[in-house]
Amino acid sequence: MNRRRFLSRAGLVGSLAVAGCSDPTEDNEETPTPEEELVPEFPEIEDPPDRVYLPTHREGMEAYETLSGDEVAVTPMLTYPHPFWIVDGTNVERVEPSEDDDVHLMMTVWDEGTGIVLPMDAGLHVEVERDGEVVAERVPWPMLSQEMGFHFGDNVPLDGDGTYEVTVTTSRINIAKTRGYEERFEDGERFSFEFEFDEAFRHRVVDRIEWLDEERWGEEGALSPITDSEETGDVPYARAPSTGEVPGTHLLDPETDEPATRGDGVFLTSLVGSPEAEAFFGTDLGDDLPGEDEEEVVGEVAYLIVSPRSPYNEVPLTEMALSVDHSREGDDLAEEDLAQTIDSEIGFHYGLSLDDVAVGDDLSIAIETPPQTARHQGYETAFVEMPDIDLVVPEAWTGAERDDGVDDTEGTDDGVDDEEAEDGGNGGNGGDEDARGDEE
Amino acid sequence: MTERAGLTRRGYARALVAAGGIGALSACLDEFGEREIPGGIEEGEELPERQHAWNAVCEADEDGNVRSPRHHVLLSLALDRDGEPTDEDRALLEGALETLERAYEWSTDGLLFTVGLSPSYFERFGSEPAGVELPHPTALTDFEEPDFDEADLLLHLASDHEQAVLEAESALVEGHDEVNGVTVERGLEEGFSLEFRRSGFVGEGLPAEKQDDDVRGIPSSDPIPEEAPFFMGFRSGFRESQATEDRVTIEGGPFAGGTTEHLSSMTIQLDVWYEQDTHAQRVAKLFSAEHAREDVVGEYGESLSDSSGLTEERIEATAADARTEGVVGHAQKAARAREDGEPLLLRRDFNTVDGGRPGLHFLCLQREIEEFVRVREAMTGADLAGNGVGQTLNNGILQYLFVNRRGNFLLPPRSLRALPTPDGEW
Ligand code: HEM
Repeated sequence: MNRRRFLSRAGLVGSLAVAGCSDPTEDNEETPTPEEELVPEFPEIEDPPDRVYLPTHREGMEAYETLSGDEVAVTPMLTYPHPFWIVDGTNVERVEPSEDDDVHLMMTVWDEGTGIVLPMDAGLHVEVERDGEVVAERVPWPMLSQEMGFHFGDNVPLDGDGTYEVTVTTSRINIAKTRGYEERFEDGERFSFEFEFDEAFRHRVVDRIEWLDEERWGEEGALSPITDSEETGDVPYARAPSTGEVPGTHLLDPETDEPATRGDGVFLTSLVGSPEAEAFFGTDLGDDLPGEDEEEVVGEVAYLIVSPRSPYNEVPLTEMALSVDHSREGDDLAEEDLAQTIDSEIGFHYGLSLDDVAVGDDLSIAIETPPQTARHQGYETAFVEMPDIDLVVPEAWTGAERDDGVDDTEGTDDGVDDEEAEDGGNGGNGGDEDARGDEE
Repeated sequence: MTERAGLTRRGYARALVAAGGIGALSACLDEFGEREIPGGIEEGEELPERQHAWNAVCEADEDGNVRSPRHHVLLSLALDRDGEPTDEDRALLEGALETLERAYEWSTDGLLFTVGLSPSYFERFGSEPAGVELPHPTALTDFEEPDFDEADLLLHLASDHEQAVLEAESALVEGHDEVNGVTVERGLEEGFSLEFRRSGFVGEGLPAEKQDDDVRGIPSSDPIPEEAPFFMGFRSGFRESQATEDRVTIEGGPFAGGTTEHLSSMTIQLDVWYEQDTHAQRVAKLFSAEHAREDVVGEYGESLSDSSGLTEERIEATAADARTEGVVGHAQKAARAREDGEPLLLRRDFNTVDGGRPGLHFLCLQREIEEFVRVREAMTGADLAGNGVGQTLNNGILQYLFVNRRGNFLLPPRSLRALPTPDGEW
């Protein structure tokens, strides 16, 4: 291990002792002197399960004050460099911190008005300066983490102890925007904040590491979001809308009678009929409902919502390519791509308008690419192999006549309930049990 | 002065070009002795009318790919006089350039150079160059805020020998009175001001050597392959992916025989590229996912011969690849802009450490600037974003490039290079 020194060995061993596990650095050839500093080294879990699992520890972090802009806000967080995984297609590659890296920088971008965490599809541009000189320039990875939810982050090299200024530039949001977001996020904004990199900082973040009991490593479950902790409670957390918050007629997996689960991702799927659908189309369709004059149209216009999320913490799964194959009694009606969309109420989802949807139609959703977001430990084996989802439009679908898509469903509190749907239009989040890790 | 300590011969030579100036020149001569550089043309002899006629005098590798000169200097010059240039200004510039032509062989062993004129230059006359669209540079993506190169002239000097570019530069702008044995009558400082100089290098070995210099942004683990000509670790500029000189030459009007030049300068995020992406991911992001899966590139591109190995099928499948592979290649995307199967750009880009960080001066030639804009749009691939790849994520190499400057220039034919009017007279 030629990892750059981060913290005194004494400090590291201290936190490991709390965890009651062996010192993973003990086979390290060179024994650093007490003044030398080590980046904490994290044991790898051998053969982690192909699903969301409990990692070895909760990261220690430091949250900085939220930077409020005209349209978006950025909440920065900082910790020691640590491993994560990057994804291209279905290849998931572990990234070790390099010997040059000094901190792991994270940012969540959100709309303070709605509390919705924004996907920022163009990424962020980050410059880290010391005394006016750029020491690092980055387009950090969009990332999924159990504790942080959806955020942007990367390991970054610095230039010794001192005060650093970070400039974060956002770009316009290019994905589809609906229900009040149509005119928003057209311009980029610039933010900056300072942090102090020194021994005290390094101690603070390492001291905050909370190790899970070794027996629990790799267990099914997820660490609770940082928002559950007092220290970081104000940090925004991307949470997909609960069942009750997603309007329309919900489509369930015929096999389980619950929202479909693929690669451990839960796909809440619903059809919104007119007139609510029009709000998503961004226009008042009036008399011009698509397909209205065509004789063979038997169904109704619909807005299809697919809202995939992680189990347990319900973090929205971004950076996927989804398409739908719509057929009726074996005849293909349409094959179309869903658009990544940000909505002012339900946040990030994949959406598509369909013009002729009738009860009994088949909707087959293909996950052409799984989430290309980078992953923190516990998410890297999930959300990769995601076979098609075959759904059938349920009896409850009445399209235009139906205008009460929302109120007959019950909200879920923390997304771990599994209640029966009353009208076939509702379902839990697909988690088998509340396996959320209650790390000490 | 640049220290020799710890540098290899080639590394030191490159460092001297980066430093520039007479000091660097004399250090170069001290260190390596005066190299025999072949002389230029005699009275009555002529060089090609196309300033950009370099390929015929550049070496080709065994696959017939043109190998760029190894050392480069860019000089941005402003005419001191306000308003239209005079015959005296023209004589000053033309005289200096003719001196270079007499001093050095027109080859990579001697010196190759071009003079470009900016849109701002033509504004002195209040009209645009006849028969050529030469727009002012603009930002070309949502995520860049470049400065613009708007000085009148851009001189590009190139040679395999650091001594030649340094000496030519010193003669042009630093009052050095002799180039390769030829007396310099007048330097350009009599009528022009140097706005900036930039420098760079390209070719096997040079990027890897740069690792010794402790440049911020080059990973300490020295990951750049020894043979790679470019910082990002792969060969580029394959014959099949380059426009021919004919294809980029202006065909009609007074500037027929000339071409247009775009220069974008960027820094490169090399640490993430090398320390985080795997070799297969680098290949997928530069070439295509199929290239990575079938391992057709080799470590630094040695398995390719005279093309990037992109089939027409692969190029057409770019959008489909985005959705199903979750990644598209830079070369794959950019090749979508080919016309009738032919690339539009003749790329003569080179690496740099200007500003103390690794970067690229992306210099390329095309018949019209608008063609560059189109190719750059194909490379930006906004149409692919949201369809399996992001605006930058897995969308070629966009995540690794930060464009700092852009400039557009007209390279007139040689006979009109010295401060022509917009109608091509002087
Ligand atoms: C550090 C930056 C860059 C690197 C490392 C790079 C590398 C490459 C490589 C390896 C290839 C394929 C090999 C070849 O056939 O040449 C290629 C092709 C190409 N690149 Fe780049 N490139 C960079 C920047 C740019 C920029 C800024 C543009 C501007 C538009 C560009 C335009 C092209 C074009 C047009 C092709 C050829 C496509 C075709 O085959 O038709 N490149 N580049």
